[in-house]
Amino acid sequence: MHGEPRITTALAKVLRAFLDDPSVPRYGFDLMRGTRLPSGTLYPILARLERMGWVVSQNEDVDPVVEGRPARRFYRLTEHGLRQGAHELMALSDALRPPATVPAALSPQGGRA
Amino acid sequence: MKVALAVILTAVAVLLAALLDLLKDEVRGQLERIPYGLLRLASRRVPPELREALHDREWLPELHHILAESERLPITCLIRGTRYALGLVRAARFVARELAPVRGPLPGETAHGGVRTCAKLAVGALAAAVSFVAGFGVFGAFGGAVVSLTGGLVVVVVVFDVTHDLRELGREREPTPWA
Repeated sequence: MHGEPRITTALAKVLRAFLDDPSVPRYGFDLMRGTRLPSGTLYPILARLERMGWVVSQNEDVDPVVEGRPARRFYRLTEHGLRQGAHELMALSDALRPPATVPAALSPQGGRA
Repeated sequence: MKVALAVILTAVAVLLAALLDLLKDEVRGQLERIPYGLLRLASRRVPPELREALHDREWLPELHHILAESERLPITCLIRGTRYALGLVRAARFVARELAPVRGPLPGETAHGGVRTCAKLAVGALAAAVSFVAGFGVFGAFGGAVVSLTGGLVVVVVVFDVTHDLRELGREREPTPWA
């Protein structure tokens, strides 16, 4: 089930949301809100991550009658997903970091001392 | 005359108000069904063996949560629900293709359920035919009795099994237990 995904910005956002606290189960809608991704983008990413074994999903263990709502499905990072996700995000961050020679005018301080 | 006119006008006003209320409820009811309808459309884009896993066990509970969260804001509710469902209409096939090897068909759900049911019916018909022929003494008295009984038993089991299959294949969506 393992494989290497192409790390897109959207995928990076999803991984970042999972890595915020890997022990916390994440629900589809909460991830949509956290990453600002629409369902049409988020669910394919979750499906791909699940197929690759980076996340696992399962339904809540609740009684729908008692709770008055159906059991939602949540996702959690696997050990493999945690390692690979962190590695890929760091690699992406390194690749996107502006060079040290960036002109002073473009720095966050706008060239002011 | 003036009193009669006032009574008539009041009655018309009350009737119109009631009609407007009904119309409002009707429109609200129809609008609330849009996200669910779109989600059903999304589920149709998924192979039948994955519909329960995706639509019933994941998307529908999530839509329920989205709608419940903005219950007091009907327009927000409609927009959020519709956006959620529309996205899934777009992504359903891709999601199903990715998840087919992982979630697979659930017990009792197979793509060839209809074919299997037909095969069972054929076995039942064959057993019934053999039992019928055995009744004419083709297998002798004792043999005929044994074959008839066995064939009859097979027919009963097949009928029971096929009835169960047909109920599963054509079953209506069960009412939501949480409602």
